[in-house]
Amino acid sequence: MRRLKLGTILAGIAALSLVLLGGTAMAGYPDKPVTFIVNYGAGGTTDLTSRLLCSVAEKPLGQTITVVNKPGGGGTVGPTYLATRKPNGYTIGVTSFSPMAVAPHMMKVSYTLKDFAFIAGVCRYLYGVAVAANSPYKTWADLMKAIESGKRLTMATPSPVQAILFPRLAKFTGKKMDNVVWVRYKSGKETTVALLGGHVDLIVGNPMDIAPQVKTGELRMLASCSPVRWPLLPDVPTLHELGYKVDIDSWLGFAAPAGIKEDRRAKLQNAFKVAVEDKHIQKKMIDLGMAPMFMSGAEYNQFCEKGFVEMGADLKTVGLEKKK
Amino acid sequence: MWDLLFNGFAEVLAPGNLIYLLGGVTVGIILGAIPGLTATMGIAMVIPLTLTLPPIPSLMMLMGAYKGGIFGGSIAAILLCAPGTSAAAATVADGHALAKAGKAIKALKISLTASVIGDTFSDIVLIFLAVNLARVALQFGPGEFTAVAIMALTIVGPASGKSLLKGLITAVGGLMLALIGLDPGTSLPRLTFDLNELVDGIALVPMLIGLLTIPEIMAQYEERVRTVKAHIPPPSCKDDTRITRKDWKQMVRPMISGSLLGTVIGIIPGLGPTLGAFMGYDAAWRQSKHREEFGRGSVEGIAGAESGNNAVSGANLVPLLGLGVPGDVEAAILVGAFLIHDLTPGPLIFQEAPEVIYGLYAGLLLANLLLYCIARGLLPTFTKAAGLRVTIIFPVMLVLCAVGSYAFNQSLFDVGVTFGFGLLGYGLNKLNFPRATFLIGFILGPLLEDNFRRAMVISEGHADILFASPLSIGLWIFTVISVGTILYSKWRQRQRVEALAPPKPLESEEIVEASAAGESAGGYLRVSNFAMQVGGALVIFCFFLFCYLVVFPAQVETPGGFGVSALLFPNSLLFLGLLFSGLLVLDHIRRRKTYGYSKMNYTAALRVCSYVLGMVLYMLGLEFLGFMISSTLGILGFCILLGERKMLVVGPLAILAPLAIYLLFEYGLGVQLPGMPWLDS
Repeated sequence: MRRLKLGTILAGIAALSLVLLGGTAMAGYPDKPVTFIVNYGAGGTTDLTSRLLCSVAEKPLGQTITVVNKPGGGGTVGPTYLATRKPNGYTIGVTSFSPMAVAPHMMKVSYTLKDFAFIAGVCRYLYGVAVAANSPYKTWADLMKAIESGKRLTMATPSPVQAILFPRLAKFTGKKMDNVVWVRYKSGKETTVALLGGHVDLIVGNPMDIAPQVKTGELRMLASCSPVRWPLLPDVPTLHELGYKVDIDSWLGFAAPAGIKEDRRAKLQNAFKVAVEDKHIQKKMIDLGMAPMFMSGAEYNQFCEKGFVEMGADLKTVGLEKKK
Repeated sequence: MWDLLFNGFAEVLAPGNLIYLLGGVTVGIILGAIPGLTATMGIAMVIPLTLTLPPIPSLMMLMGAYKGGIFGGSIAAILLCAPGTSAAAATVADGHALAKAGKAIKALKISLTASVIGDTFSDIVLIFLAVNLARVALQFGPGEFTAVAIMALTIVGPASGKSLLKGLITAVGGLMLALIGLDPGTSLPRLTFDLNELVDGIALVPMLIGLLTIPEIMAQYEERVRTVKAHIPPPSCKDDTRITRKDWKQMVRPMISGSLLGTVIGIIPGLGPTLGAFMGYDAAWRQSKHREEFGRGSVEGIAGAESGNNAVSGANLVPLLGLGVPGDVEAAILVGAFLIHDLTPGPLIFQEAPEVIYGLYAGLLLANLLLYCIARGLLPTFTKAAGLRVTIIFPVMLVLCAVGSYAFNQSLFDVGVTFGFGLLGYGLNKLNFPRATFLIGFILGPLLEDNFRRAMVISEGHADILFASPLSIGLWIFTVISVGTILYSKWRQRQRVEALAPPKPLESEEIVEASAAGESAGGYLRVSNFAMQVGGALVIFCFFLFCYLVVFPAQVETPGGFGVSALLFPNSLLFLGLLFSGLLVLDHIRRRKTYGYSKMNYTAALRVCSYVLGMVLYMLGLEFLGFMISSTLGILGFCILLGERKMLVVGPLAILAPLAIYLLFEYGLGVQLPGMPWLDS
């Protein structure tokens, strides 16, 4: 342990002298460690997934990646910080869907999508609808029948991103769904407890909060409301498969500050592509409730732009828009 | 079951596993003892190390760090008046008072004993009742949680000290502060003044350090400290360093009630160890025959609070193992650790991997034993370190406070929060307002509001949801009894005081005392205590009025369709605030004859002002010069300001202390401290 620490210190000193001598010792990018900003706290899903990916991306990049957590502001503090860094490719970070396309509608943020050069989309966050095992709704069709009959149902979610599902369904089916009432909880775990205790009728949550209890037979998942099935519960159909062209699609994506040289961005994109395609890492990501998939930076940018417009319209219809 | 448990012990006692448990506990104690580094952080930092280990040793390490961290918090609370973790907040007043009387080791031993006993009790409950109790906890819905929050708020009574009215005002202040962040009904930002940093609310740890520790440091600057003295005086007799039979007698009942309450709180998801500590403290007060000692070095208070917070740590694995949902933030991080090792937390784990569960159980029990032994070994070192000269220890402590607040979110904003609340705490102290009630309000605010709002959405605005179950009715009855006993006790107290002596200037004595130390310096200002008190109360009244008229209407958005109006709860708080502060003004006026005068020492005031200026400069330094340079300059400046003249001591200290902190954070904990911006290419 002690030797290890001494080693790191020596490495630190060596790295420092490298930086100071950087002018003369010109090598290709990257010639020093890259700092990676995670916009949520250590130990959460986004943090663990990002750390896993960074640990593999180091190899094709040929440099260490140092992960730094900048939590706060519902995930907006990290991107705010990232947007003001120098676009030299040595500071990159998480620019997930929520701070990119959702938060700007609900709070003031100092960045726009134009402030980032997106590196890649690396995986999907997954969402699904679940009820308690003793609920009268055995299938998605049962639930829809009850909603259409006008029965008042309480739905728990931690943020409007998941709660937006029913306004979207209402728009698609052309029927009113005001009888599904949103009860907000602080975290997905709290919604699970509320559902287990019978305090709410249904939840819209992610695999971490639903899959373990489905396996023990205490909860029943009715549908995946992501565009894909959950790897952890592959038997549950998606809403698309059930005939509803409605979904909630949210991705984990990375970016550098805008203005980074294209060859550097491409190098980072490639490194994370290698990381996402690593079979071992994919297994771990699935365990953490993610669906590993890859999108190029350009595709992720388009995805965020489209999502930004859609989210804006939906949040407006439910009245959850910041004052101008 | 017994054979499984014995197998678990055999597994854990294997040297390979024992080392990780040992390491976890030690790391936890040390991290916990550094103000600002919480048990949560200890666990989060150990996680990367556990990625490559098999499940049992990594869980050992995590649990060790967790338990060690919660106890470690009380070390700093007692020795430095700086709660190392928020769970130690209830220990600060009594623990530090004992330390200042030369009984630091006694206080630490009481805290350690109570911690270990509370912890062991809740572990045993966990081992034998986990799955069954988890079901019971599910009964708690929004209605019941609302009742729990109100019941817990009655702790404000005992924690208020002399003036219930003042305690109520600071409690309302704490509740109002907790409003900052996302509106619990709509998740739109509220009272954030368009600052991103405020969207997740004011962070508890930086606020706590500011409120409790900075005023303590500032008081030192106010005194005349040219004379070199130790921060913590040495023990005067043997009884100061051990738990005497009399202490034992006093400790037993608070420890029993603290362990029970802490365990119950741990089982219910979402309450956490800080509440456990305050509830334990509260129970100790209610049973005590020496209520006047509370806040001034009560053995019972420490025993209650420390058994209360540690008892939460074992019990909040009950929901984790019984239901698969974590009981609090620390347990939530454990979920990640379980998942990484292919284990699904929840009842299934008893079938999937019983050896891991029983290994964990054995590890928990063993961790308590190790915690006791390691802590006993470390106590003399900590105490010696805290026994250094005031002029040296306080400047270093300020740097540690700043770094500790910075580390949690890696944000300089939080350092500002610490210093800001330091000033608030100093002001509250001067006017004899209790600070503990502010914390209680801040911690319970979200519990109360979130659940009340949820209940109102679920019931479509009908209040009967709050009384719908036998459980909630029981909680309300407890609440009524609790309020009744507090009012009765206050009434008895007042009768006794009035029977004994005519009203005397109660409020003035401490203020006179504080400035009497600087007698010789000359240059006094005569200040009327009455003017100070009424002025303070009026300022608070105007603050609430200003919030009502200007701030809240602009900063709270009220979209329709999300249950009761978003302004209902904030405005109710403002109404209470206006009521209590108005009553306080009237109370002061009614007793205006009883106030004396206090002398204000110019040089003391000047020193405090220069200290505040120093804090601001240090903050700016952190932003523009980076951690190393600004901390070196800061320690130099503050040492000199405190009257330290031995440059041979101060010089090396100013360089070595920041360097040691830097190395610890950068390489030991992986936290990047503010660097030098101009090198940031």
